[in-house]
Amino acid sequence: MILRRAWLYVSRNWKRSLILILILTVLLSALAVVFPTWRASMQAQEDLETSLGESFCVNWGISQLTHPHLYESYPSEDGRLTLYRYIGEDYMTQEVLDAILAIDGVVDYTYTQYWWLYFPDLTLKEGLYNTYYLDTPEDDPDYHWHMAGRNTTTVRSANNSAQHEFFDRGSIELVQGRHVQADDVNCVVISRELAELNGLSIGDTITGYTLQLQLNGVGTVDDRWDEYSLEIVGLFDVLGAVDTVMHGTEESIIENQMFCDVTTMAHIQARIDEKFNTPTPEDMISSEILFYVDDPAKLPDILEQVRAIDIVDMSVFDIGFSNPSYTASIQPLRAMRGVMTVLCASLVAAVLLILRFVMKIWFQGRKKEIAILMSLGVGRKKILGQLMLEMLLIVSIAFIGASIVALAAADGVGNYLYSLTSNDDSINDEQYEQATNIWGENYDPYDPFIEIADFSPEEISVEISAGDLLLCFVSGTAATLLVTLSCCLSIVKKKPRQILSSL
Amino acid sequence: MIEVRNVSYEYIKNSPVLDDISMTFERGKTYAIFGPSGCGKTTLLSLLGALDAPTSGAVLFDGKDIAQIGDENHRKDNVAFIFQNYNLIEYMTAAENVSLTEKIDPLPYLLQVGLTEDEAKRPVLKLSGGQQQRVAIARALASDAPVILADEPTGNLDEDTAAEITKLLCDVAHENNKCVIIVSHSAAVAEAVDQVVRLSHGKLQEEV
Repeated sequence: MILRRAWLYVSRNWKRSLILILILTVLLSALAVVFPTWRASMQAQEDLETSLGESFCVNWGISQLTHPHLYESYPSEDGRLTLYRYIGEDYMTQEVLDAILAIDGVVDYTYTQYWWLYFPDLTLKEGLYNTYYLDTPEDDPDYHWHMAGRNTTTVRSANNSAQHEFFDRGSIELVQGRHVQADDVNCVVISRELAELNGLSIGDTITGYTLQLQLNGVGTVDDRWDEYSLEIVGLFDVLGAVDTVMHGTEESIIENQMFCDVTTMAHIQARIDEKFNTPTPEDMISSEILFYVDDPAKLPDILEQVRAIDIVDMSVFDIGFSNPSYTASIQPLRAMRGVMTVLCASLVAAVLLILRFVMKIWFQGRKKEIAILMSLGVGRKKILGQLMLEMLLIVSIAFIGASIVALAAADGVGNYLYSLTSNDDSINDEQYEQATNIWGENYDPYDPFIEIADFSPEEISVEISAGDLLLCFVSGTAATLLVTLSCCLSIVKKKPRQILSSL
Repeated sequence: MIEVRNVSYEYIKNSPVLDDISMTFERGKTYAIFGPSGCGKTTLLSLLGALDAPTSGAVLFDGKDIAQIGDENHRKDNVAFIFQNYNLIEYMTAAENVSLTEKIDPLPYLLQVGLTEDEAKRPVLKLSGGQQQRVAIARALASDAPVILADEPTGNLDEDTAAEITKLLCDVAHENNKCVIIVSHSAAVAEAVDQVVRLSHGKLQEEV
């Protein structure tokens, strides 16, 4: 009898039913599209992590400015400068490094450092010092600095230069020879352009010097400190565009920069520390270390384990993905995920509110019928059962419509939402800045602005599975029945006479 | 059969509409409850049919308190209602209204109250007021309840139709051994029923 009455109501009041079916079709379609779109954005992010997130960075994120209580000040040798020495206990030691390397999935590491070497015999690609500052008078306080700048460039080190961030992000590419390896000594990779400018080739040796000038700004280009003879083992080409407007000095031009072995750099750094009276703890390895993993999918778990190391306070380190392309490419997907999360929550709330509103009107018109049925001795449970069955019939019809709409529109709607969160200029300024400043610094004048490859997907693939439709049906039905119940309970709880006299 | 025992009902505290009334209604007889508007006639009918509950006292069916029987069971098994405004389900046909709660063939009941087969198939809104009231009576008959409670069943009908409906209800009571209790203002009804009960100031006064 319940089914018969339910069917009679739905079929005889087909105009009202049709309105409700249309409303539910729209709501269910939205539900059916939003959840798979949310999942698609998650999947795209996961794919990106898997393809690009093959390394992570542990960066000692404190300084005298951020943690002054962990530093003590002391004057420089000549008394002109105030220097700061770290007196805390939390930094990267061999023990911490070993603990990270012991985590399953961490397969290698490198730490990158840089210093500036003066190459008197090299002609560098022209920057500000060889153009704009050519006429600096000798009595100018910056004269010697400008003189040094004409032949000074940045030398970077890595255990394996192939793992250096610039190569890793695809900004530069080895085109001849080999990369500098961990066991190399006095080896260097330079740009092909620099090599051609100086008639150099693989196997040739170039000689650079550390200058006191670069430590404290005192002296001339003749106040040399240590000499480094470096054998060229490889040549690289620059693939990305270089911003030479903001970073036009010679040492910041990527074609002038070099990649040397860690042994050479360790010697340079040791000598600097010596001059600085060892301003950092002796057993501190590096402030920036890049770790490589065998499977990018393990990265989230590995990062958790790194953060959980209790040898030192790991909160002093910034720990995260290191690939700037990843950082840049993930932005639209993260934005998308954020939008979808808000959209999902809003949609669920909206569905419940709209249903509640519609059902309230719907059942106001059913009061008399409910009272009649009650006066005829039909039990409350049977009346509720009939009303719910009517809704089930309507939801079922709406679900068929919603499935067709969702299957047809999901990919388009999902990608439209994705397009709203991504930028046509694949990497905008903000992303660009974030991407280049992977160590958490706001500005690094020696980190050349090289265009970063954008790996963010052009579109996401929104696929609706049978499971999605089932979930949509179940959640839509549950929401509808729940709202039906809440609207009807207040009616059927009354005595029939109360209902009839209120009409 | 069906009895009100010391029943009182108050909408407002200490102002009883029904004040400690007692009476028994018997099978095979027709009753008319008369009284001025607002005297509690419909309230008494509602209490007899468990559409509402008394403030004090009890309604008994075959000696058993309907509170124990259960409101839903009492309405389902013991009583059937006929309302002044028919209270039919508007989107259903006459036949569907009669078989609303039971799997029965509604046609004999509709024929019994004077409707045709064609009228039985019509949506109730396409029937006249008198025909709709006949459908309501047929629905009451179909429920097989021993007590039929009719709340001004002829109030919306013309004189001739009202007379027909009244006669029909009386016939139902006598032929089917049912107890028919009619709330009415109509003198014709008062003349047709077996017993008239006057309700005044919350008290019952029986008249033969």
